[in-house]
Amino acid sequence: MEEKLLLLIQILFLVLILVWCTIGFSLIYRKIRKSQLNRIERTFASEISKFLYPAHGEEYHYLNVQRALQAVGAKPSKKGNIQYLIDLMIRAQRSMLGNNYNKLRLLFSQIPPYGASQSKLNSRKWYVKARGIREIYEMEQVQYIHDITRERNNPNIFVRREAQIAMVVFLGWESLRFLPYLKKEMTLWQQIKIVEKLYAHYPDAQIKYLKKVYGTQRPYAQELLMRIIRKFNLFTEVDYIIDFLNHESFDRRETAIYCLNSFKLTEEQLQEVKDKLFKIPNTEQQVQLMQYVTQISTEPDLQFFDKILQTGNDILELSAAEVLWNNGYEERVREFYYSQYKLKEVI
Amino acid sequence: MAKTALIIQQDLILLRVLERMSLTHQYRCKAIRALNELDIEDQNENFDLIISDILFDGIAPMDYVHQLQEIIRHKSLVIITSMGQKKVRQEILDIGNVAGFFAVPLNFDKVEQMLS
Repeated sequence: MEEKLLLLIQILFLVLILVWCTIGFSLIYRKIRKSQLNRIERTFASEISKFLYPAHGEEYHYLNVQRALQAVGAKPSKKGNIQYLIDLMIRAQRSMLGNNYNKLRLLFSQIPPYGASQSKLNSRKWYVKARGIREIYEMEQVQYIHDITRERNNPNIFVRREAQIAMVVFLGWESLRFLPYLKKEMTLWQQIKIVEKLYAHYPDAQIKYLKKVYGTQRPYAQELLMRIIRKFNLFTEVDYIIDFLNHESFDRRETAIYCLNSFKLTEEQLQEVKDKLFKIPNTEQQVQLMQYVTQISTEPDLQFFDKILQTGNDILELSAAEVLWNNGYEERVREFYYSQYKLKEVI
Repeated sequence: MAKTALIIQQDLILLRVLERMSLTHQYRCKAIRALNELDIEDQNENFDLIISDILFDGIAPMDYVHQLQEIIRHKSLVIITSMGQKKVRQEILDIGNVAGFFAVPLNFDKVEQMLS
């Protein structure tokens, strides 16, 4: 019995020592690793600065940068270091604009991180793949665009999202040749991201690409196009949005009303919107649209409001009455509601 | 005599680039990552230019700017920070005696104009 107990204590003691050893080892390893990464960061920062602002006006050759980075361990054989270098590159490029940005882009295309991003494209793991695509478009390595375009219908949502964003960054308005014909649906969030990226990189609208895809029947694509029209304030293309006001799908109508909100309309367009209001099957949306119409026209159109008062829809009537009341047509509202009272009393 | 510049940036890349930039404009330059790396001797210096971030551990941005202006003698102060919201910008400029406010990402050419 005693021997067994001693043995147990011995074993437990051994385990304890083992745990201590692991902790000690991990501490030392982390310390070394940290200093290694810091060294890479320091070297990178000083090399970048020398490259951007060379002494005495001489050009600082990119091979010097490459050699210095290799000397501190950013070699293809060390994947962790290369990944750290890529993150540094993206960070550097993100903090600069103008001339320096272009210089850096040139530098990074000359000292590519040994195809690390590109090899990620062939990975089977989705998170590696998505990260690779992201790195490629963040660093604008346009040479890989063909590999990326292939991923736009990838079954994994994160991969195809990054691929679509990359297409917008690289192709700009031309990406509209592909984006409306994707096999999978696109979330609202992704639509917004695409519109924002397009606006950030290509603020000059190229309407010819837009016009070519008006025929698309994909729900997300129609919404995407409407959002683009709104973001770029393309008032010549408002008719496309107006067409969707009485669409059978709730979401399409919702988007159309939302996108229309930032535009002023011509007389005919306004008339068309007013006509379409009566064809919308949802009261909430009708009220929204009516408020928009009131907001953009200086004088309330009495004919239009009279017509609304006759729809028989209580909520809509009340909103119309409110608008009339606030614009000094109290008499008309009173008349309308009193006439109902009389009717009810008789009944 | 060469002009002097003090650069305080947490981000190492920005720090080095700004340092090189002022060196090429014949500035004598001290580049540090936080205010506590400052020497006693530096406090006697009258810097021609200070380029600083406003985001540091343990101190609010506005307090930091006030303190900086109090502690270190200088001729002009430029703020470069990744905290570049309009509200912050307005608050900083309201303090007064701030020659410029740049939000990251920034165009270095504009900062360079201030150096020459």
